[in-house]
Parts: sequence; structure tokens; C-alpha cells
Amino acid sequence: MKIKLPLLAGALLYSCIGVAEVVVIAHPSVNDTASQDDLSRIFLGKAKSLPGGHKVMPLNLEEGNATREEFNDKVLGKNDSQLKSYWSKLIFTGKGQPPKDVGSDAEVKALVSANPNMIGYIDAASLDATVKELARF
Amino acid sequence: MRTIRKLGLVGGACVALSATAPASAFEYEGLSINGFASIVGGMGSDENMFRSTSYTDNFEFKPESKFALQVTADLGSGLSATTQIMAKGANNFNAEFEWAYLSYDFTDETTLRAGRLRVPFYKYSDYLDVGYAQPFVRPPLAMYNLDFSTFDGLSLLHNFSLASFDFNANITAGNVSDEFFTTTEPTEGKLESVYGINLQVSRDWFSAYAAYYSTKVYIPRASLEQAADNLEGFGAPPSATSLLRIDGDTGTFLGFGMGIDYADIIVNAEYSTVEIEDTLTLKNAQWYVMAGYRINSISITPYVMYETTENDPNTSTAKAFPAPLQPTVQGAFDAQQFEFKGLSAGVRYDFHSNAALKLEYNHYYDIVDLTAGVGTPADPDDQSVISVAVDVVF
Repeated sequence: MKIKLPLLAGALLYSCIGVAEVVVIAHPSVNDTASQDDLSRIFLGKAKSLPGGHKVMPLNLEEGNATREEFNDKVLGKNDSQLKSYWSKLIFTGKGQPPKDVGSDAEVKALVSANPNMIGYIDAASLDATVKELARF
Repeated sequence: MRTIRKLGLVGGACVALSATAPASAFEYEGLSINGFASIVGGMGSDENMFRSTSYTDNFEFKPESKFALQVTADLGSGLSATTQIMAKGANNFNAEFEWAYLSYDFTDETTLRAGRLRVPFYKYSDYLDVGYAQPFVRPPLAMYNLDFSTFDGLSLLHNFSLASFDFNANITAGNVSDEFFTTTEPTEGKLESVYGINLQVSRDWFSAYAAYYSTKVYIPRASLEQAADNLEGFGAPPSATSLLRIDGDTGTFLGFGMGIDYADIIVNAEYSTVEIEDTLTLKNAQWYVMAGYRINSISITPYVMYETTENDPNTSTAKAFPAPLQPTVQGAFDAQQFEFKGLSAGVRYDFHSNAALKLEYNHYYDIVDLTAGVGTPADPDDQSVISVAVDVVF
């Protein structure tokens, strides 16, 4: 059971990840770009391809992952419960399913580097040559 | 309490603080299972329920509590099958198929659904029972007052964007067989050829919709049928009594709404009209506005709401009857008139990433009430209701 400890957790999160950067990654062969708005639409299920027309399927890090919270905040502008409400509307009306959850930066990289149609996001510190940086926040 | 234990570790490494809630959906070989539940307890200030409130002066958990499971089977190549089974306290927790449909994606933008679906009248109709996805304990009674919510037929969903606005059209065609007038005179009836469109538009913090539906309504309400027969006995022609009976008359629904979610300020407003031509019913119009403010630091969202509904008098239908019967017929129309308002205040607490606790107070009061039984113009009714809800999704 998770009880939020807003003030304490907020302060600690800030000190922990205030300096971290999130990198959105794609397969090295992908030759396309994406703005924050484009990525927001893709991760909210409103768009299914990059602006250049390349089809992509987004991957999420698991709930509770600090990089995911950073991404939600910077790119989607929503917190976890707002996102949960947003996806509930789509799930229970058969209009969509949220991106699949993946356990770690390493797993995101492994999936993205093996599949030209997947994109994900990781902590900037985990970035390496197996994947291509699409955007940084 | 995992979070609290983890705090001890935080000093050194940046451990995920928000804890690891279980994955929200169960998935196995193309099957996804999702669910939601609401436990709602409430109590009214008066032993008489005010119109469609669900509570007397006894504290009760049953009227609005519900549990639902949804199973979606992805059959590949854009085809999927979805069922949603719900057990409602109001229905003694008997499980019923609320939705059951096949869905086929023609393209990324266009999906056809066939089966039992929700009629998307209002902003919250599509997820009427998913309390978690709504800011309040329940949508405003003054507006969300149509007895039925599902239909059997087809729904074509189409998404497109225009000037960075996202549009979402839902075109529906089908039929409804259900019990109508459930609170006053339960009657099996049907709506034939329900056609309509709901068009939504959204961009960042702004959203809006417009909806229009038209149908043929058949509801052989016993008291009304009897009254019409009696009038014919007194010499009224069937062409006139047909203007009272609900016997294949055109029903229309028109609705608009808008929502804002900007800088943690939430505002929702909706307006709708419902009319069944040539029947002993009155055209009614209703609207509400709600405003809330999300205090993120403590995950609490207080909100207030104002709602109102009223109907238009009908003075023309009586003229189709022989003169001696006109006062009776006019009296029957006048007795349908009502106008009431509601004021509400509540608070939502997102105490868990999959659950919200809500506390809400409503005060409903008559402005005009000429309907038999429930108050009189000289003695309008009112009722206050207090409710507490826990909404979860999983």
C-alpha cells in the first residue's frame, strides 16, 4: 500500500532528481525529430507516428520510477493521478490502452535498440550508442 | 507502507520514492483485464428522497456502490473484443454486461465498434460509472438524468487533428430496450433508430464537445395509456390522444460542454436539452458549472458546483382536444412542470495512485414543482445529501 508523504517526498524528489535529465530515445536507424508536443501526443495515445510519418509505439518506465515522474512532469505536464484518470477514460471506453510499462532504463534500451518502431525515455546518464537521442528535457 | 520504509534509504541513492504500486492492468497473451470500483456511502437530510437523489435519512452504502471488471482480448490485425461486467449495489450487486462489443481498427484514426455500447450524451457518459475519472462523487443529478445509458448497435470513432486541436468524433446508430421512468412508473420501452454524433475537441488545457441525437420513442406508460383511453371514451379523437402517448414520437437530445484544466484550476460546464415531441412530456433544459483547484502538494482538490434544470410549459397540445376536455389536458401538462437547483461542495483526496477519497455535500431545492406528490408550489421540497466515496481503478 502506498501512502503519499507529500511534503517530505516532494522535497526529497526535488533534491534527488532536480538535476536529472530525461532523454527520449529511438532506434539508431530512425531519421526523424520530435518536439515536446509531438512526444506528448504520442505518449498520450493521440498520435501513432513521429512528425515525419515514422510509426512508433511508446514505452513507459514503471510507476514510481523517478525518471518517469520527471518525464510526466516535463513532457506531459500531468501528475500520476491525472494520468491515471486520463487513461481510465480511454481504457473503460475501449478507446485506448496506456503505453506498456518497462522495468528499467536497460530494458527500455534493449527493446528500443532491437525495434525500429519503439520509442522510450531514460535517464540521460543511461544513454549510450545502442540508441539514438530524439529529444532531451 | 513500503514508502515509509524506503525513506530510510534515500540519503545516499536516489531511490524511487513514490513506491511501486502494482501494475495497473493484468495482461496475458493478448488479454488485458482492468477494473474499477466505487464504494459510496451517503445520507440525506430528509426521509423523503428529493427527486433522483438516492438517499433517505438512513446512512446507506448500497445505492451508488459498484464493482466492474473489463476484459479486452486483442485478436490481432486491429480486431479486439471487450466486455465490461458490472455489479451495482442499486441492482443488489447482480453482475450485468454493461458493455460487450467487437472493435475493428480500419486505420490508426478510424475504429468501428459493434455491440452493446454507451450512448455518449454527456461529457462523463462514456465513463459514467468510473468514479475515479470524475472530479466529483457523481455527475450532477440535474443533468445526468436520462434513465438509460447503453444501446445496442454501431459506433464509428474517428480522430483527426486540425491546427493542433485534436478532434474525436463518435457517430452512433442503434436501438435501446430498457426500463424507463424507473423512479416513478417503471415501464419497458424502446428507442428505435437512435442516430447521433458526439464531437469532442481538445488542446492542452482546453476541451469541449457538442452532441446531437435523434430517435423514435416508444414507452407505453400504463397511467398515460389509461388516461388517453379515458379521454377517447369522452370523445377525444385518437389523433389527439396520440399527442399524449409515447408511441413512436421523435425524441431529440442536444448537448454542449467545455472543460478547462489550467494551472491546477479545473472548470467544467455543460448544457443540454431533451425533448420528445407530441407526448405528455415537457421539453427540459439543464446546465451546471463546477470549479475546483488542485493543491498538488497535498493531493487534495476542493470543488464547488451549481446545477439547475427546468422545463418549458406546453399550452398548444390541449387545443387539439374537444373544448370540454381542454382543461383536463392542460392540467396534465401543467402538472409536469418543475424547476430545481443544486449547490454542492466537495473535496477529492488522491491518497493513492490508484484510488481517490471524496467527500461531498449537496443541497437540492425546488424553485417550481407542480408535479403531483413531490412538493407543491406553496411547499417546495429540498434535501441535503452528504456522501463519502472511495474510487479505485486497477
